[in-house]
Amino acid sequence: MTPETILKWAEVGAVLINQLGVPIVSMIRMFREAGGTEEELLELIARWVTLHDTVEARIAFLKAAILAASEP
Amino acid sequence: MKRLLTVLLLLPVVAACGPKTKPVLIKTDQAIYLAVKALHEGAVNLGNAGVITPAQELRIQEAILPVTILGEQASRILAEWKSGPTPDEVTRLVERMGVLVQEIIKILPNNDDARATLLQLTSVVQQAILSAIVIAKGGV
Repeated sequence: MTPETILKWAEVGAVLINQLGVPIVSMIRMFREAGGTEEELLELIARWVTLHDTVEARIAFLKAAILAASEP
Repeated sequence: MKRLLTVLLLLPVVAACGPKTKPVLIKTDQAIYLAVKALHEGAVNLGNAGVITPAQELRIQEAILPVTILGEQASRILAEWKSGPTPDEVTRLVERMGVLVQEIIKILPNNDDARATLLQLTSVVQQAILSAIVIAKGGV
C-alpha cells in the first residue's frame, strides 16, 4: 500500500470506528473461527461475475435515462 | 484518536510480510464482495428514491465496476494460490476499496444523507480490510 492509501484508510477507519462503533474484533474472530472453503471460493468467483454484469447493466440503464432526459 | 491513527498506519506495513492463510483470505474476499454488492444496491436504492441524481449514481456505479472486475480476478488467483505472500491481486483489491470510498465521498460532497447511508455500507468494507490486516499481522 502507498502511504497515501494507508492514510486514507486510517482516516476513514478511525471515523467509522469512533462514530459507528464498528465491531472489528467480532469480525476478526469470525474470520479466524470460520475460514472460507474452496467451495465457497468457487461460488464467490461466480458471484463476482454476476455482480459485474449487474453493475454494467445498471450503468447502461442510467446512461440511457440521462440521455433520454436531456433530449428535447 | 491519534493513537488509533498511528496503529492503523503501522498495521498495513507489518501486514506486507509473513504467511497468510487461505481460509482467512477467502473470508476477506467474501466480506469485500458483500460490501461492494451492498454499495451497488445502496446506490440503486438512493437513485430510485431520488436522493441522488442519475448522474451521481452513474459516477458511483462506474467507480464500483472496476472493483468487481478486480474482485473476480483476485478470487481466481486465490483459487490457484496455495501459500506464501498474499497474492498481488488481493492486495490491489484492498487498495482499490480504499480509493472507492474516497471517490464516493467526492461524488456526494453536498448530500449528507446519501453520503451517510453509503458510508455506513462501506463500514463493512472497513471491517473486512482492518480484520484482514490484523489477522495478517497475527493479532487478536
